[in-house]
Amino acid sequence: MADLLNIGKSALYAAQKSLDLTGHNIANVGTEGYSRQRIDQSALPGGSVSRLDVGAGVVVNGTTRLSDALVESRLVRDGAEVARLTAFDSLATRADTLLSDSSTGLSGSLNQLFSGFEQLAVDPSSTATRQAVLGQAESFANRLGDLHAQLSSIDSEIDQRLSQAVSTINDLASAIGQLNHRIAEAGSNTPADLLDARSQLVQQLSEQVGISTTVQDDGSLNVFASSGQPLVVGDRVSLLGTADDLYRPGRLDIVGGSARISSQLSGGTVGGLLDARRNLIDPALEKLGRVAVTLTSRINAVQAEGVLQDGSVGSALFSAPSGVAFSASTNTGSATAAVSFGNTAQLTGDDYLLRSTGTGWQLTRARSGEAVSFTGTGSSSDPLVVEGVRITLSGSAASGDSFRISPTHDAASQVQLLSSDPRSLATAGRLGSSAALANTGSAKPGAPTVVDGSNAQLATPATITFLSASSYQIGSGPAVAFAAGDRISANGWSLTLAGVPQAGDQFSVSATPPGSSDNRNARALAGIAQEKLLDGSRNTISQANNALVTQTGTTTLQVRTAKAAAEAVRTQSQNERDAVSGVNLDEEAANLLRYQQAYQAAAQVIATASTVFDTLLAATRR
Amino acid sequence: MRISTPSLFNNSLSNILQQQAAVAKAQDQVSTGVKFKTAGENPGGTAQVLALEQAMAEHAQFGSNLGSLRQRLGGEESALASAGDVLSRVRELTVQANSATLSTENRQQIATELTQLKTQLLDIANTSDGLGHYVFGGTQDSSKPFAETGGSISYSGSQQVREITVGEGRSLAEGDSGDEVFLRISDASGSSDLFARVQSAIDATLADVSTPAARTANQAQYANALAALDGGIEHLSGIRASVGTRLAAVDTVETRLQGLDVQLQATLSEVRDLDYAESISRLQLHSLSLQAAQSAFAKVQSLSLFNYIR
Repeated sequence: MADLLNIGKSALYAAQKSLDLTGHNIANVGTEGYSRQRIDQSALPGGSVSRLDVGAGVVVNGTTRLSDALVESRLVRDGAEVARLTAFDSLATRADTLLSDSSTGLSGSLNQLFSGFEQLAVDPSSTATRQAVLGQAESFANRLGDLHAQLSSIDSEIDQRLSQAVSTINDLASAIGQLNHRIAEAGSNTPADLLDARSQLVQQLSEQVGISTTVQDDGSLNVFASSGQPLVVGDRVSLLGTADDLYRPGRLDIVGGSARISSQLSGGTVGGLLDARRNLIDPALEKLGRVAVTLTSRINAVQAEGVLQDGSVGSALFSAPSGVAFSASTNTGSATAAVSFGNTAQLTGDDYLLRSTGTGWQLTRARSGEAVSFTGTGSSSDPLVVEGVRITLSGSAASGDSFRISPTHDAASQVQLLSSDPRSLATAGRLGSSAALANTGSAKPGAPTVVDGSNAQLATPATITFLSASSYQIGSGPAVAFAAGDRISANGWSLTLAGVPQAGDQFSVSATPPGSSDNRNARALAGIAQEKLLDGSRNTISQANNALVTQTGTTTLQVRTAKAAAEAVRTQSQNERDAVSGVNLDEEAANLLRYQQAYQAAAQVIATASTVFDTLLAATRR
Repeated sequence: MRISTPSLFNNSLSNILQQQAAVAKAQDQVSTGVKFKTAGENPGGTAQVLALEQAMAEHAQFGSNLGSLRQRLGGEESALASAGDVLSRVRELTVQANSATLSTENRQQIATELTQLKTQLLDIANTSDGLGHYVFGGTQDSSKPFAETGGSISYSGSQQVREITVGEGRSLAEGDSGDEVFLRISDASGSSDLFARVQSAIDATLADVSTPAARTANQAQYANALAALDGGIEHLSGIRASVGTRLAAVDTVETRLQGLDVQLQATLSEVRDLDYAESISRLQLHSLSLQAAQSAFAKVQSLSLFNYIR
């Protein structure tokens, strides 16, 4: 009877524990990261070794957390990928909208600028037209500056979010360290809810930065960042920090221990932010700057080939952007570098790293790390020349000193219109030609083209006198043989004749006089639209800008597609995890009924034991 | 497979959210009328749109260039027509003057009219377009290109004329320089100067015809003057014909440009613009799916064993 009572008591206890746990499961149905638990119970054998021995009821061994470590780790990985792509996507979408939208993109203002030059060619002497063209030039410069500012603000937001992420990572790592301590202390008695809490923290940490984990024998979990940097080992936590970028002041580098680890981090929000900077924002700024450098230097060059309405030679319309060379903060030598541009058709826009070997220089592409060949020594008379970039070094560099050469990254912010005077547009060609009225031949001189703008005699008036139909002299110079179609060249200019000259015919070449409404140079300005100025003379300015817009769009689309795929994969993993660990309310309702019944039955067992005992007492009382 | 309550809820919810996103996108497309707004939505399409927009901006500029060209060539043509009229009148009067029955007084009158016509011709050579540009000044067109000093005409304009771009790699001269029109007549029937040719007619009219010998000499003078005038008239009509050719080219280019623009517009529309029938039915489809997802959610969520435990 005492046995039955004990059995009933153990059953009652077990049923009550099960009811409690069912309640706990129901209570946590909405708790993020909660794994459902089960009572782990077993039958209690009786005391003696005998075929007649009846067991002693049930014993509750503890609770079991239902989870699958493999599915959990897959979910951590998937969550990290979704977080990476979400961070990347939000930045990419902004850059994409910025570059694509007609009110913020460059395309519309480029079209307007070239239309303006064309209009200038139709009406070169109209002050109103000139004023309008200057307005278009100014809004083009402003648009470049605005785009640079907007992209840069995305870039500085990346820094802000990186430093937020670093502090979140540190908080999470500390919390994991504390949990490790409690779990290691509790040993095999660790409550399931602590493990859930730690899994949840690991999940959150992986959404910040890519990590890998290993479980130690004492149950504590070691966490390493994707760079290999340990974040949590047992209950010891290594904090991450931030420092100024080695080259670019104001840009952040993540520091672990004493090492800069930004370039090695991947995955999670941090990975996404760094990927967006590396693969989207920096390239966009560089390509935008390349368009700015190429177009402004070409417009300035064409301006210098023409003359203003007062007859003077044109000058630069835009301030010429220059490249930037950042010295590493660790440099010990006194060397400084200056960056200018050579053949802009070769510009790639890429940044380079220039490292002193002590005896010479080594150049690599900053993004890919591949070595780049260059010519020159770096002196002012023989600069290092690489892909349209000229680098001049002064001072002396210590071995290992390095520079980040950033030719076009910030060029778009430097473009400014230099003149607001409508007269400063050089619309006329530098030289004009005329035929003497007394000429008897049918030859007409074409417009002289400037072959060598630096020739000191360029503007000196020259007379071409034909000695016969087949020879001429310039001024009182020697006779030169002439055949139809020959170019006549002198003093840095050259021209052709249409028609047939006769002996005695005279043609003169002289500087374009003031007040000319010639439009040759305005047409040259308008013609820049069709010139293939970039990518080794393959692309026009507009094509290069379109490529920038399309490239950004393609990256954005790729990220967006990858994000959708990663979300689907994560949903799948989440479903798998929930299939094992998630609470099902119907199941718990059924359990509730089951354990209620078990409880009632156990109570009945106790009641029966009591009745049996009463029966026995009644029998013996007689 | 075992399904947990949270995943049942989350999956139903995410279906609803997906359908909502699809409805929002379809609605946005229908209300903006374009298939995509940024390069991220359709990089290839955006590249095409940007290139098409550039071509159309260029064409619009070429179109406006053609307009200016037509106006300027038209101005030149009417000036040339007036000059031709003046020369015809000069020729008519010269023929009229060459008559034995006319008195000296009559010939004086004709000479006076001829002198006026010469001045008129000079005015035509100095025609302005009303905007301060002299039609025959070449690229020095802000001041009068022709001036008369001591009976002879000098030209201070430029021998160059502006070329206007009317298509990629194609340009047309927007006029003819004054020296070409008035001072470079290449036939040998007189001076190369048109004004001098008119002057020779005036001189013939004023010549002394009191003796038979002088009369004979005057006949030869008239014959030369008339031949020179005919040469001048022919020279002007030659230039007028070349202006006409350019005007015809303006029309041809404009027609071609308009045809091209229609094509570009059609391509742009095809690439970017929305097919409303297709989009609206897609909008309806997504709305229907959203309704279905919502109703399924409500149905599934109302199922619970707890409803039966009393």
